[in-house]
Amino acid sequence: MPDKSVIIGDMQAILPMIVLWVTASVIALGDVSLWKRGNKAINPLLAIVGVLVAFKFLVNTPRVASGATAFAKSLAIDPLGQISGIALLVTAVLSILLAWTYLKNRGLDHAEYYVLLLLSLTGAMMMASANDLIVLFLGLEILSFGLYVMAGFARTEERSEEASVKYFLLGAFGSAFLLYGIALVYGATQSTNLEQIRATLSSSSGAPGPMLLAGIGLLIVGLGFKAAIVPFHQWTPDVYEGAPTAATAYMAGAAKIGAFAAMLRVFGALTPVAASWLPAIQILAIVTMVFGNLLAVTQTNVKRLLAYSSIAHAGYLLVAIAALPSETVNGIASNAPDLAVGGALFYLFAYVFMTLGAFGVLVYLSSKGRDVQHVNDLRGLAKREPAAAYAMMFFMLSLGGIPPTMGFMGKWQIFYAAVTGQQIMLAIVMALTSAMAVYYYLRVVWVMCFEETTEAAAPEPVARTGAMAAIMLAAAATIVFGIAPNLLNAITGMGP
Amino acid sequence: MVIQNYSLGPIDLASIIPYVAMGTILGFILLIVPFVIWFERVVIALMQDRLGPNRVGPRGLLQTIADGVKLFFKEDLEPAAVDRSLYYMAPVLALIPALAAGAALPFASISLRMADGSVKSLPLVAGNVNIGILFILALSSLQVYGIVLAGWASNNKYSLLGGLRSSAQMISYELPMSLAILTGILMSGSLNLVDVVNSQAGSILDWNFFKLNPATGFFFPLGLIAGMIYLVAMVAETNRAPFDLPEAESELIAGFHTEYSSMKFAMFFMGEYASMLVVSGIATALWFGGWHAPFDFVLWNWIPGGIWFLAKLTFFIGVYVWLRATLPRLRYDALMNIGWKRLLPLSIVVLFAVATVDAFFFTKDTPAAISAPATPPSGTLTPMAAPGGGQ
Amino acid sequence: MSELYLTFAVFGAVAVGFVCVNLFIARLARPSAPNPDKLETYECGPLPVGEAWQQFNVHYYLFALLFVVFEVEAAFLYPWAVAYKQVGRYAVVEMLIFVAILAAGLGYAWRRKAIEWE
Repeated sequence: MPDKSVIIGDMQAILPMIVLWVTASVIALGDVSLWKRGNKAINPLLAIVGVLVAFKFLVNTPRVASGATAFAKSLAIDPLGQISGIALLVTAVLSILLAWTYLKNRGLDHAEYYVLLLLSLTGAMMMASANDLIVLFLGLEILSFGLYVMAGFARTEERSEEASVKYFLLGAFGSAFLLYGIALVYGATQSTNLEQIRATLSSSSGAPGPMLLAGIGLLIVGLGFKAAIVPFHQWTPDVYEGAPTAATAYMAGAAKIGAFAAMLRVFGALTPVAASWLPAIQILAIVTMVFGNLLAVTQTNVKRLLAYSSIAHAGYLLVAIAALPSETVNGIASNAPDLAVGGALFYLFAYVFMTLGAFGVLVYLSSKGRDVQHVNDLRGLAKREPAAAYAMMFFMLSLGGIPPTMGFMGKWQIFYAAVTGQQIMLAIVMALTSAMAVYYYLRVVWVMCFEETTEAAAPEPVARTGAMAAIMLAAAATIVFGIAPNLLNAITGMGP
Repeated sequence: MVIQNYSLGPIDLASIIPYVAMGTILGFILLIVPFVIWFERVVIALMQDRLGPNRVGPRGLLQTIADGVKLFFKEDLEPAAVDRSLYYMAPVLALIPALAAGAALPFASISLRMADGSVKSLPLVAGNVNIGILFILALSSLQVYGIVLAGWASNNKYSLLGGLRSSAQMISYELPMSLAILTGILMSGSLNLVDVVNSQAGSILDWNFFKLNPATGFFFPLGLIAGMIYLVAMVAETNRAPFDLPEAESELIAGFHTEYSSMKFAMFFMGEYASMLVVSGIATALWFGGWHAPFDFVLWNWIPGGIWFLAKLTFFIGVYVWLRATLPRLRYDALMNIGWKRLLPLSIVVLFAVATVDAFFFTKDTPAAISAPATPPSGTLTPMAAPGGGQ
Repeated sequence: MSELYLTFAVFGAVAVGFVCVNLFIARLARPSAPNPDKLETYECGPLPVGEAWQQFNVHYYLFALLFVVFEVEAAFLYPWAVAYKQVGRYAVVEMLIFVAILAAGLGYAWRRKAIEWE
């Protein structure tokens, strides 16, 4: 019988994931037997309780010395994994609140949504703590399957079905690329364990062989698909537009966090051969930032606009990844990698709050027959719904990177990391494209505040508390952490 | 029976046994099928109080041969609308896995007296693989392909429906069958069919079906239940009554083999009976003690193991024919109901009952612990970049 | 061990050979008089309308999905059945948890009526 202490240590390491999985099972099985779709509020309530319990376990996991692993070195119990986990749980809380409102208003109130949300969250947490490429792939797939189904949750709408099928087909392709890349990297380094790969690469001398290069390229493609990096972004606008808005909000948050936590780990393991992949990442970052922002300028559908803005934010996060390999600058050891990881994590938090908040406002305004998507639906919102409108204004300003919001703080940190890591070109492009982006963010604010409503006021949807709670939480976080970013460090335990 | 001389000149008896077994199995399956068909027709006729075949040959024994000759010389219709390659591949796929599955089926054992006086018993099996039962199961799963491709390629709505229904039924019953086989494996402790049969040596009480011998393991009602599950599942697997809705004559014309004529139809027909023989062979080896005699009489030990195997096999074929003659056909949704909602949960419960009884009641001493995996070192490898602070 | 490959190969070759030779000789022996009426798809008399290769009931797919899940579970149970005697009670409990999770899935499908109707 295997050693008991090892088993208990392993279980303790994944306790948050176990809690999430147990909650999902309770919701699924209870819905078919115990409460039988009767009192529908119990499902989101249980989901939130589960997420909060998981949060408590995650925060209480002892912060051991970096390098602690579980499950025979395949999971890494380090701050990156834990803080990404916290970000994911925050995403989950906001998404559940939004879904509570949205599903009820649109008549889609099934328990399976929460089950899928919690299970895909488990996958994202696995991805964020993965120390092994196979575990990373596993987490990616678990995350993706839930998202495919959630994208198609509004089964009677053609748009939603189309979004789901597109996401599934392209996602299957992306996973295939990722798996092929993992196989090639394994062939080149004799291991799928990230720490092992890093050790092998730093001890081997000479240029990386073609197998390794091909493997890294395919890894970039596979992970880039999930993170919505140009030119692998083709699915993002269609899926974000077609999926139910609450699902879009969750997708935007969880997939990005999972994908970027995974990228931080993988590229951190590949830093010894950075010279081979750094130019590719730089080009991808520039292209993503430019195209993401450029294509958003002409959008009139708010969901597509937010989708393109997500793509642009992925570009900014890529800048942080590009700063990862700069461990020594001009011969002096620099802390650019630490700054890069810290900046990326802070930016992910900011991204979650502002994007989910923006989608939250759309959810707040949606009702049974009316899925608020077009920018014209937001006309004159400042007079109709002042609270939602001002919250939206905060989110738009934060997305644009205007102080004193959290978005600005996040961009500043990435900027700092990039400059410290000698990625001056990327920093300049980031600044320029952010300036360009402000146009379409502020246009939304303009439409809300200075345009008159063109149509008769729509009937108020039935339930709005969840969405309002989520919007207020997100807006508060955007402002508070924008003014005092150290508070976030204190809460999550980031920092020295 | 003990063979005194184990080497015939330059040929070592032990090495030609696989080929002897192979010839026996193949010859047996191919030659016995006509007799099984005749047997079925005669017994069903007797049970239905009418005369069976009695024109061709003595008591109609040559009836099947006559049918086979007719099919051989019949014109082969090739409908224009079929998908050619799949159409021709389907009957082949229905028959070959059934024949090939016999490769791992042991049906007797020969005792050889070696030069040093010891007696070694060699099982008569074409291929004595360590995963014998898995091999046979895998090949019977391939038969589903033959049926579903036949239904699809025929481009006939009735064939398609029949083929789909039949394949859905077969895969639904493959699950309880695998789990029931697993229960037998649990009781015997090995995937190798020869070891499974040898673990049932002794008397009828040692057979997995009964297992009443406290010395080797007392699983009494569990073996019986698992054996019955296997029996039901094997009848459903082979698309035989009362589970033969997909190919019933009164529904769906002739089901998936509507568009097949002459020899291709004969392939399907033979494939069905061949697979009947193979699954009955598995039932014999796994539940009824294979080639072992029921009691350890000196007289009975003179009868070679192969004859005992044949007798038990005949018993199972008799059960098949009996079921066909007496039970009415099951309606399709009732059929799927039984497979998924009754047999599958029951087989899972029985499997775990056997495992629990064995581990908690029969294994008294704690087994040697598997060496624990090395605990991962902490802090010795280069850590990943720890996230720094904000500013 | 390598003799086993040989025996199985010979067995397979004989089985395949028997079938193919049979079909081939039958093709030589039987008459062939094609006729447009004989080439039509059989539907008890009336001519068929349209092809058979159309949409069919999605329930077949649901059954196939559930089958795959439980077949993979059975595939995991096979090595366990052989090895559990050495590991002991721990193996039984662990596998019980595994099967219980999958059985809960079956229960869920049962209640959601995924295994009903055909």
